[in-house]
Amino acid sequence: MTTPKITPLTAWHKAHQGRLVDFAGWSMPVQYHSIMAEHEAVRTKVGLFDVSHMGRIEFQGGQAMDLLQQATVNDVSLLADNQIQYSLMCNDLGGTIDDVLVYRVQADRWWVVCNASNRDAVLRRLSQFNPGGARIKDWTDETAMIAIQGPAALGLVQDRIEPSADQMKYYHFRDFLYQGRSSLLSRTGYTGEDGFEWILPADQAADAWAGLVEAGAVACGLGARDTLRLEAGMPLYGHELSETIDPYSAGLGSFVKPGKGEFAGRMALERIAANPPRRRVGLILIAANPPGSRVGLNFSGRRPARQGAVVVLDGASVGEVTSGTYSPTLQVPIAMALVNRSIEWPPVEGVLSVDIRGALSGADVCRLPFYRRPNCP
Amino acid sequence: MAEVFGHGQAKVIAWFRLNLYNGHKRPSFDQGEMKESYSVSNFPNDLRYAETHEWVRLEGEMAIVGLSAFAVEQLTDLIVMDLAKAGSKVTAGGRLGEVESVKSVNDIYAPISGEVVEVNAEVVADLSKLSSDPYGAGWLVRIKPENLADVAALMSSTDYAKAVAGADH
Repeated sequence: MTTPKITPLTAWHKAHQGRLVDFAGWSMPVQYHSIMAEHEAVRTKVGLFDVSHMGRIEFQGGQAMDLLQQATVNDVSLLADNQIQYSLMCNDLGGTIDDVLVYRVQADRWWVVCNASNRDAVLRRLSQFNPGGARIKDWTDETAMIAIQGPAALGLVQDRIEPSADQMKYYHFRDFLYQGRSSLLSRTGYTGEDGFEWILPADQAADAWAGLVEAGAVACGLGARDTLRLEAGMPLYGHELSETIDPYSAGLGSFVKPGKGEFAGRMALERIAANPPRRRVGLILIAANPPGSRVGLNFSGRRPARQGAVVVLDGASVGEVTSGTYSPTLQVPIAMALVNRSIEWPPVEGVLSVDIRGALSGADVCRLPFYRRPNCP
Repeated sequence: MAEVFGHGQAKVIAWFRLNLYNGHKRPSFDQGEMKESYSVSNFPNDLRYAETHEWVRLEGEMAIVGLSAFAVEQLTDLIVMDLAKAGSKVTAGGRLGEVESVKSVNDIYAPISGEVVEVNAEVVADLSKLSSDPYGAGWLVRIKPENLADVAALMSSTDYAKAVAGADH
């Protein structure tokens, strides 16, 4: 085992009771005090996340756009300067290598932000589609990335980072100088709230972070990040997406653009599009003990289903939970699951259940997302 | 964003497991920077403590069992608890129940062998009692010990405080 990598903010996390865990080869805080309190701070005020473990890769040159068009499934030609696109990279069988954000700085300059766990796979895949020789620069180790999320994020960012942040639309970004040095601020996030993600030089990160905390932002760990994105119905690689899960089954088919021309995985994806094997669904677990459940194990409907729990219909397995938690906002256990597309959907009320370590819990179907913020565009 | 939350239920269950000495790996989070360091003053000296963070108070021939303030703080964000039923036999070091938080499922171990004679239904219904009053209203079960000497064999508050401090570094 290699020692987990640290971020420019690890010392701060340690000094502030961050519980550090090994996450995708990085030492990251899962929580400082309470996940529920951190979650609540993002829903009602503003929270900060160290997301420096995410991969940050720059592409330059006349071939950069072609390279990204070939390697990702969405259509990068739709992007204007300073615009961001959610996309996926697929293998030749249509499975997902990673989900990414593609940033267009200008026609010959782009960025990709990818998952920490897939950075090497993404770099490998991209270099396969780079015969034209676009310059690829991995900035992950030289920069930090901070997510500022919540209804009060805009005010905080305007005060402390970039006064014109209010001019920035959702899924747009700006390249600007912060204390004399180049940094990149985007109106994006992974919480279901308004917010920003900020890529800045590594050696500026600790002071910038401390300043944001001083101004009232609550430091949040990966635990709250997970509960927030789950309520917002957002997929997490390794759960709702993997090398064996295609974008259509994951409910992300609208991000695949077969009309754009040739790209990696296109042939398989066109075949899958007509008949995806599974569908991603939202479930709310309820207290009911359906017939056949083990006697004496009624957990009062508060027990969450975790990844791997089997979804049951008429005594047969019809799918699997990919993520589950107790929703701090809705105060009920919620889950996302992949279920076979062959079963009738939505199913008749009351027939679906989830096997939670031997005990069946009733499951109601819920349209995703579980949570939508007020005034959501 | 996969690894911590990935690998299915087993990983989640193992994550925050609180055993100090049973040969299992310590929880993977770094406890070295806890703000409030725990000392003997956090652990009443009329109780005995197990390595797995349960406390025992003798009342006549009955033993009351609960979770230490340290364990409760480590767990955080508790949502549901399941305890052995009244009338069931438990074995020292065996399973007494489980408590689940937003992020993890954690076993609770029986500190002594015996028969569960009463379960604190109020704490099961309101887990906030665990943190507000871990040694009082937050008690878990009443056990009729198989052997009263087993209670005396558990750690004193001083030894338990040392064990927790050791885990703290």
